[in-house]
Amino acid sequence: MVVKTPHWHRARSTVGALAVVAALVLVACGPRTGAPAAERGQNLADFYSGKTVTIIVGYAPGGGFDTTARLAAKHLGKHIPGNPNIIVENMPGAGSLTATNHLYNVARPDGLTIGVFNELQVVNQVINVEGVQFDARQMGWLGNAVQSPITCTIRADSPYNTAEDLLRRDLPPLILGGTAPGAETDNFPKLMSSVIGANVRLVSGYGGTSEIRLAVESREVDGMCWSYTSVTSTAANWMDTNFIKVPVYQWTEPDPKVQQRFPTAKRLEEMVNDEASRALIRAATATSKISKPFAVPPRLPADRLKALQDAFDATMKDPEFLAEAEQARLDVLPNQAIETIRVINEILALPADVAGKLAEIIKQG
Amino acid sequence: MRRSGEVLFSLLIVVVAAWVVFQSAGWALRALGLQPIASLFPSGWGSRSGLFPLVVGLPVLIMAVAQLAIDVRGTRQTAGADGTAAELDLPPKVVRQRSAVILTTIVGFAVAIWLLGFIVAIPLVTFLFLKVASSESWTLSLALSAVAASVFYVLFVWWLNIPAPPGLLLGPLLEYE
Amino acid sequence: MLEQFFQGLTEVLKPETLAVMLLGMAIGYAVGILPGLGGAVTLALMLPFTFTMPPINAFAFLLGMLSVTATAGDITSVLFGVPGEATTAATVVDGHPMAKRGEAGRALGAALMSSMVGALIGAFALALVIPVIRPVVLAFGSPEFFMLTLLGIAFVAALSGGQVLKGLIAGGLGFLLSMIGLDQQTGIQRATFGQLELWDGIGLVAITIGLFGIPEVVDLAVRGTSIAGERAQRLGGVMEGVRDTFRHWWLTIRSSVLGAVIGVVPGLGGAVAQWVAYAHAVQTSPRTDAHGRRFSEGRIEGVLGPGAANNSKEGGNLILTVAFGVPGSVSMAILLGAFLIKGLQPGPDMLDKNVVLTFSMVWTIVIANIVTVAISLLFINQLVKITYLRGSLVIPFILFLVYFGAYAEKNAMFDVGLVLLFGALGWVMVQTSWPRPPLILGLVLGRLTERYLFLSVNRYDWEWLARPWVIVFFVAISAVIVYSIWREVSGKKPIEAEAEASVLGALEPVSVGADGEDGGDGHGADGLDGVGRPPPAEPTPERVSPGPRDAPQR
Repeated sequence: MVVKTPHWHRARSTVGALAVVAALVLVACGPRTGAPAAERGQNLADFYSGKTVTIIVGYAPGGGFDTTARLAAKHLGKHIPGNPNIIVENMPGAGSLTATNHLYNVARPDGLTIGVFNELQVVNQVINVEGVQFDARQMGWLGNAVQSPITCTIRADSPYNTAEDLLRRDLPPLILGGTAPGAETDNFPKLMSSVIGANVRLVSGYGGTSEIRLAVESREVDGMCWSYTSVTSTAANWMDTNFIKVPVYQWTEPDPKVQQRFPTAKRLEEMVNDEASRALIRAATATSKISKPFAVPPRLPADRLKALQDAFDATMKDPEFLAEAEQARLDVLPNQAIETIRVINEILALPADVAGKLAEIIKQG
Repeated sequence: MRRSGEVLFSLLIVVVAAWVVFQSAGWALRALGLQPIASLFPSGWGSRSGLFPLVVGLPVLIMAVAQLAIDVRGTRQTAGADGTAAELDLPPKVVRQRSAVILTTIVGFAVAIWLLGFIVAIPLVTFLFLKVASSESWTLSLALSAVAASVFYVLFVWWLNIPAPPGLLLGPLLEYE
Repeated sequence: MLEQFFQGLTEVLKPETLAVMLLGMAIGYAVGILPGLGGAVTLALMLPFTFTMPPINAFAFLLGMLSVTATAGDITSVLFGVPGEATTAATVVDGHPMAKRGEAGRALGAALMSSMVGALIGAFALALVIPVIRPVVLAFGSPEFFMLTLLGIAFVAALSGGQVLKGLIAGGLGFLLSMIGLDQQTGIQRATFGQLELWDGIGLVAITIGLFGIPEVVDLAVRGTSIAGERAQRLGGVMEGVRDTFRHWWLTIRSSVLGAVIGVVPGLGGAVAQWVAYAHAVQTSPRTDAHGRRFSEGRIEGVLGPGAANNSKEGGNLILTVAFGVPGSVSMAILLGAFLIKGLQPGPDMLDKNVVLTFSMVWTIVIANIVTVAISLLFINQLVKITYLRGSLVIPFILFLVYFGAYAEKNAMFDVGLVLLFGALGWVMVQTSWPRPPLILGLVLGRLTERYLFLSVNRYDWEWLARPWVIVFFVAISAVIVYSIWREVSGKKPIEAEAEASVLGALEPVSVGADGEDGGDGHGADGLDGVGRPPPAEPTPERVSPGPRDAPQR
């Protein structure tokens, strides 16, 4: 390479080159983009045909959300008119808040982007968590894939057998593992302690539920409270070997699957008598009814929104999808959009005092 | 110049460590009962989040100040070379100019990616670097730029489906809404 | 058990399984070789393809891919000085200086061979401990993991390259950097300045590539030559490197074991093994070798240690994933996802009912690595030729891969900016002779140390300090710290102390040519060539690359 001395007249040719290339690029890029959204009356099949629909997952690959999204992606395409190609992208960050914000603010509302993120973000909106930049009311919802009660799974050899046992003070506290404030593993023990005075101690800060699982097995903690579907899909060997029992769980009515497997399990709301406490419990666990939601950006053209909602519904009923989900032990129990939206609105309509109490419970460190 | 660079860097570290200690020391001062001083310190981090930053930050601050003192006094430390610029004996002017070019390229590339997106930035910067900064031939520059762009597109966008956003500037330009 | 062990082998050797494994290997190799682009990214993208395969094929495919990215990443680290993977950054420190000296072949031979040894040991360790691993790991809790992270941090001084004060500061700085983000214990944001992208902390890939890769690119551009500079490549060097692996047999084995053990500890992540192994190599090798070279100037031990460890850790990670369902890294998380999709349950079943599958995974790692290394050794000379190309041709590609690799980790544009920022930091650190490895070690271990300490205290108050293993580790840590510092500080002659460098191929814009300031040490009057060793004996007869001393070529 020639030893160069500064050639300041090179600046001119640099700028010139830059301008030419930039112009060429702009011209080349222009016609390549998607159809303008103004063509509302366009036939749906024509619109989707040959296009790619992207599902943005708010977690890194390998977890429950990612797996559900990828399984759904396999079958969703054939239920959308025009049979577009479906791909999955991961956008992890801030417990899926990054993806939620992105879907709401950045993604184009053209019906080509779907988001899957943690339903607890809706609660974050209610209790005004910093960083929330979306409005769940405006978001478009296709439905959600799973509904699952939160169950407290504790080691079978623990002295605590029933929900009433949790009120005892003569036993050492029940040690429950958690990940971080705001996660269901942390919210539920705090709720129990606050509402019924349960003798539980939360040890939070584990990296994830799999690490808590390890801690349970190594006897560092006695158990954890998490969604039942996670138990059956990632801790099936606990169930198979009767390693755990469930003294308490929460659902708006008795859940047949849980009751059948754990007959002595009792719902948390059965432990309280007053309406206010029950309302608080339900508010805190309402999102377990809308687990693994599929959403779209706000202000989607109505026909495309409907098409996607129908497609989601059809996919959730698709026998091939269900067969694969069953093999993966994903408890698919979907809600159609209308039900998902109803629950979300309910959550968002919490009276201020309940929301305040909820915030207090969740945010305590 | 070497000396002042080292001094500046050590100073930077001192500043950073000091900031960390400042953010995290509030609770400790309060615990020690030093109320008037403690009120000058922010309390955002509390005793839990502030524990490690303080426990690590304070020694770092002390050591950094020591290092700063050493640098200011100026021990003759040489940055070693092992078959690199030192042995090639380049005149400092050349080194400075080349450094400027490559640093501009590196920063410029990042900016271009940010504003124009990967698909545009890659051939653009490749071309500019080859043709303008390195005086390669037109054919080579254009060819390699094309290669870079196609490799990127085919491998990452088309095959692996990694999202390649159009960039801050081009994005709005490419939308019709 | 033995019967199933060999049954696993026969399963893997079935033509269809072997074919998908080879396919996975090819993809993993390509990805590993591309600087910055992580194995985890492609693993994730390949996951859908495995949906339709039977379990043994699916895992042969995924594991085939995973097993070779570390090996291929070592190649990039050596040749370009840009980490091929976040887990191969340590190989840059001594591997790339060797390449710049014309010993790329030797460095690569050593990296490849040690990778294979590491992989084999990691895999066989996995197979051997399968019967006993569960009770062993379950005997450890947060207190023990805390002590282990402290032990890792104790190696910081060993990475300082002789400048203990700067090393400790850099380590502390890395530690502090790791705390950026949301504190999981309290929900408080630390130093995120309102940026959502910082909530999860600083991306490791972005930092690693920026810190180590960008300064190398700058150096390459400034030198104006090809990567190999003016040195002729000794093409026979590859076998020399292979022989080196056996010459330093014991080090290679120890590093492999170290990597495998670190891989089994939950949460330590992939990046730790390489740096601890590197530190270990530094501490257990002579301070200078036969040529008077110190570490970070191109010591073969500095290649062997991390080369072995970043492969053997995969075995450890796999144990953790298979036997406990705790993914040790992002790649393992994806593998775990594949498990669950297939309806397999990690845990005792994998060591019992499904142990054949587990053993087939062990064999996959073994075969994939042997094949990869064998093929690489055959073609390595072609790869080495890249180091002959003009730097200007190579730089744009390196930069594109660096930026894209950082971006693709989380699909976040923010990480592109991070690369730039830490590239600048890395460049400044090189210029001011601050060691970078301690910073990275502090970074990967900082948060973890904090987490495990708080978990321990929350759970056990302070009783955990009396647990037997905690005490054992405490003694070990003290020993390591004392030894490291003593070793670095003592045995330094005065001239060495002045002239010593901890830099990894630093620029010397001022010192070279003696412009009259203190920089005159570059070519000191005492005949020392800036680093305490005599200048090269005579110029090698066949200069392959152009340089400014020659007449202008174009």
